[in-house]
Amino acid sequence: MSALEQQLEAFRQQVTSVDSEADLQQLKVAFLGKKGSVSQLRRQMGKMKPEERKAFGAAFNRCKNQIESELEDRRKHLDQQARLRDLERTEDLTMPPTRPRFGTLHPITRTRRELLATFRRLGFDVAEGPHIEHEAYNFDALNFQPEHPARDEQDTFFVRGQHGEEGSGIVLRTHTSPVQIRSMLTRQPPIRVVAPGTVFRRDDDPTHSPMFHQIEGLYVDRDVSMADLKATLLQFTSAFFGTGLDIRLRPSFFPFVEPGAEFDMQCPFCRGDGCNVCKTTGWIELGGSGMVHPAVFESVGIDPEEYTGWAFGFGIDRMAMLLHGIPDLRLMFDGDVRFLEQFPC
Amino acid sequence: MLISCYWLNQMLDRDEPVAPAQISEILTSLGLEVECQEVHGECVGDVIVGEIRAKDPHPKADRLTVVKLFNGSEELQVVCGASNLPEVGGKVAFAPVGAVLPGDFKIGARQIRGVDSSGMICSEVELEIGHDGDGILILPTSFEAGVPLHKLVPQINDTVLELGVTPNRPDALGHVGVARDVATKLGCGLKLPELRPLEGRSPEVAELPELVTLDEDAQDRCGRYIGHALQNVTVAPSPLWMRVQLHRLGLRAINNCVDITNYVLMEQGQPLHVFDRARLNEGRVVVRRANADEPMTTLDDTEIKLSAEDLVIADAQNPQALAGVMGGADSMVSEATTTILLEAAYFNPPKIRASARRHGFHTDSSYRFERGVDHSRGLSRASTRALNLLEDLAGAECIGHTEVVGERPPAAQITLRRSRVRRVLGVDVPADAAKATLTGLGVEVDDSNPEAWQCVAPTHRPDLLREDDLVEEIMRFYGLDNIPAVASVPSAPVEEVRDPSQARIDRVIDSLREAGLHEVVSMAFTAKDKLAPFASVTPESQIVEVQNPMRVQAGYMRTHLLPGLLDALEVNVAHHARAIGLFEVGRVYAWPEAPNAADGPTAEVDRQLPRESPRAGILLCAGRSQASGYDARSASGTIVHALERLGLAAQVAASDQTIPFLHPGVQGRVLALVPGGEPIEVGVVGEIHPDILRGRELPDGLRAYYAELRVDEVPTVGVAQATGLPRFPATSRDLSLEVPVSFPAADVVEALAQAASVALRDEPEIILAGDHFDVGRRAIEVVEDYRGKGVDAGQRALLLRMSYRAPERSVTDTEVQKLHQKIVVAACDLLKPRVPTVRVR
Ligand SMILES: [Zn+2]
Repeated sequence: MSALEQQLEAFRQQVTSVDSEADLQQLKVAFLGKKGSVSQLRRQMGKMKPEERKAFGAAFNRCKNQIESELEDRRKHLDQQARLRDLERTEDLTMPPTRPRFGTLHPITRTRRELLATFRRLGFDVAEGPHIEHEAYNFDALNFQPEHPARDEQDTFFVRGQHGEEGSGIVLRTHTSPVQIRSMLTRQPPIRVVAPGTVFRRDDDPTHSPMFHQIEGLYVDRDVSMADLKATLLQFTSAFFGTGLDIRLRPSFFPFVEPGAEFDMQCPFCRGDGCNVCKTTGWIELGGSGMVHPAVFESVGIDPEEYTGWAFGFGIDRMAMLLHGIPDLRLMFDGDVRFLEQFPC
Repeated sequence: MLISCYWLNQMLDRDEPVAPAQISEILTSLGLEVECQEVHGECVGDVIVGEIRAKDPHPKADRLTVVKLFNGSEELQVVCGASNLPEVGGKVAFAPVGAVLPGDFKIGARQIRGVDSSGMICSEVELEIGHDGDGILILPTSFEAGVPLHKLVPQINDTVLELGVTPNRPDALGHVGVARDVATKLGCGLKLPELRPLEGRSPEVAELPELVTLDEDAQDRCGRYIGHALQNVTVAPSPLWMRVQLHRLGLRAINNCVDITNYVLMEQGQPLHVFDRARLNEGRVVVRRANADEPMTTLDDTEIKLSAEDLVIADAQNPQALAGVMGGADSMVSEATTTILLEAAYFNPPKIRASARRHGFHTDSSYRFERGVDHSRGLSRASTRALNLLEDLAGAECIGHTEVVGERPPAAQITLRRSRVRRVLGVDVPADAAKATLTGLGVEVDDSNPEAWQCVAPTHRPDLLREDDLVEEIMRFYGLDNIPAVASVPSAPVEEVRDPSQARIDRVIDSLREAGLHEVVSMAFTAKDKLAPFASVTPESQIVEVQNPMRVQAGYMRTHLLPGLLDALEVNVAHHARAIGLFEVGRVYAWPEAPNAADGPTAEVDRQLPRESPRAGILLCAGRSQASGYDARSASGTIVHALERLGLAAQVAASDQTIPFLHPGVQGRVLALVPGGEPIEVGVVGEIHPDILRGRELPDGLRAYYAELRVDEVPTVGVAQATGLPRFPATSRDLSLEVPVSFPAADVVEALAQAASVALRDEPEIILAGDHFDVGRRAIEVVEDYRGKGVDAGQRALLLRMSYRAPERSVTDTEVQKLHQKIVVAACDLLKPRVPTVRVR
């Protein structure tokens, strides 16, 4: 048996007991590394005659290739064994899952965002204004005459002046309508904005909170009419609640519009047949609307002969309650996690 | 406003009455919304007129009477307990056996203490036609026995509608005004009660100029005052029909004089007043402004002190009524009254509202005057109507009258263009329909120019002032349902004013939600004491105070989000045992130290307003749960994450001044790191001060954590910009520095960063690895905070890791080692002055 064959035999004896990649590597180094036992044999070539050298060279390469190929086989074998072991693992995924904590948006935020997305699609920009507003914008510019009983309907919170004085002329805004004034003062027609926001009224019962949220829409352009208002309100309800629901306007009074109208929507739950939500009427009262009063245009320096416009407004909280079936307004402002968790998506 | 369908129908010139359902539908379609309706009198259909034929005492009971009652066909025996039974021949309301009275009260034949009784003699209350339950109802002797009562008093059967009348429609606060709308809609005439005016009477009734005088300085407050002096008045109960009519409208019958004023109020919408003229000094009235602090007792026995702004109706000496608001006790009509002064007036609406508010009154009278009554024909009509009723029902005799006139608004002259109707409504309303509407409402229309009608608005509609007001009237009657939903204007794109603050708020909300927190919305007002811990943020002098809060605990605008979050924490801890992670994004309010800097068209107003600043607050608390994972560092992590979501690197630094509402040992400042700029402080984070939690309804020893972003101070970052990835690997080096426990890790990192920036100047090819590539992650990482074995008490070993990289080549171990040593030594030198004990381990 030649030295090469002896080495191959020695290798074969060892390779079958190797059971890790590291040992396999070590084994390779021991035989084929620079100082490995097989590599050592190569040095003998220098002392050989040329013809012997050729035969030895061929035998050496065979031996080396054989070792490498058997190393590879062993590697594959080990790999396969590891794979099979890995596949034997089990884990019971019917156990309670480990979940990341999920957070929620408040239903008012959620509803406001959906409303804004809808109105943006209809070509409205979004505007905001201060919560603490001057009567000049909350009332006067909106054609609420001084000492007019229309002001009583607003149940206004008055704000003391900076030094505690009464009669500061500053109020907690009673509606988002002052944003109409601000928008018309700072923008040029055509104006198409929606203004969502917090508003305040002295009212506290199961269906009224002293703080609530409204959204206001305003469109000013040449030749805008009640017919456009109706069309836009219909577009809005279709986009928001789905098509096929009719809307209805009823004459009403808001000092800053003329003509003024309340607007109702066919109940999205019973589609007009009558149910609990709409108190069997088939209709849901949404809010107020109307053509911008010429006196309002005059107060912001827009010529009512050149431009006409309309405005509408309704409650975001009420819309949220409607959408999510929230039974009690107070739940909205208590911050109870058990309530908030009900709006995961 | 309650409207009787019976009464309304009396005013419509039609053959058949209009059914209540149709009236209701018409009114709602016209903007007089019917809020609810009530049907009356259905249960008393069987009640008839009975005649007393004989009265005998009950054999066994002193208080009972055995009555022989004639029901129109036969005499029945009825036992009655009333003490006011009329004499034989008197008429009463009788419910025969089989009748069912209101409240499902069935009348049966029964024995009362051994005596048979077939039916019941009823009181007003039992029939629900009046307030008087003390005795039985006594009917006029002219009523014929056996006739159903409702045939003789048709007001009994009625449907009453409750209207929500908007403040622009004072005319709809009387039946005539409502009937005018209905008649116009139905195209029928309006039938008003017939009047017998004083003009043309013989003998002539004297003009008494001294009866009413109007002071010069009260002309702006009283536009018109009609006074009638009446004598031989018999104060007595009103007739049954009037009492029932008033009862149906929720008014209590008192006596004929008072009832007549109420009746005319409900009919014409015009408040009236009657004075006992004998109690008026000199029997006359003066319409004048009150003297400052002049006392008066109102007829509800309230002592008030008048203001010089108030208008009063005085006699020769003292105020006898707060004009348009409430009469005085002194000259109130009583049983003994025989002479009266009847007042019908128009008072200036804003002045009446101011006066009523000043004294805290809200009466049927002020309600109408402040909206504006008809100072012209309507006033005359109401005055004459009341005069006639006093003559008919109280035997009054008019002995004199007068009228004074002050300032009153002129009738509005309005040009109505047909083109304007089309432009505003978006539809063509036929000219004849439009004209019929306007004339039906009392507008005088001259359509000689078919395109521009000259109109005069009626004085009963003070809301009709300009062209669009008439357009609205046309629309109301044309019907909003007939206006098509057509977009006639092409939707041209409008200017979009991008508001970065709103987008930023939305991103903060999203990131806090992603962090697993629940959004709450709290009230913007709170109690003053709850704001006290935040005086360092907003001094008390800058708190915005509500003048008329609903509760004292809600009288101040919040200066901070924490009180609201703590309110929510209380609710949650009280009700469940879960971990509580909340956030709120909302505004806080404060008066600015100097007026708001404002510009643009709204600047003048904006400079007067308090400042409103957006804040994001988070509150974390394990509550009563065991393992919430909420601690101070999850609070700082959440807020840093929120900033990272805004595209900013962030870190928490030690407080430079103690934040009073946070635990003194567990608090820090939140810094936003801007590339190439100084860090910007944008918030705070820490454990909520235990004293604040102790002041709340919370379990002892509870810990809660708060973090806040001042959203408006967070710098804006543009669109995220990408860089290529590093081609060569970074090499990191660890070091362990021993510093006192109280020394902030951030300051150690800062010292290393400073030392590095100096040292790297000499090695331009090498950088700290995180600086360029890992947004939001520092190249100097704090890996571990070790305390315990091998470290002195009060000290800690901070294990730090620094990564080095050369963008254009591989770095060698040797050069990194050399550089790192240099940085560590320099950093220690920087730290030594503050931390003498610092040492490298
Ligand atoms: Zn429904």
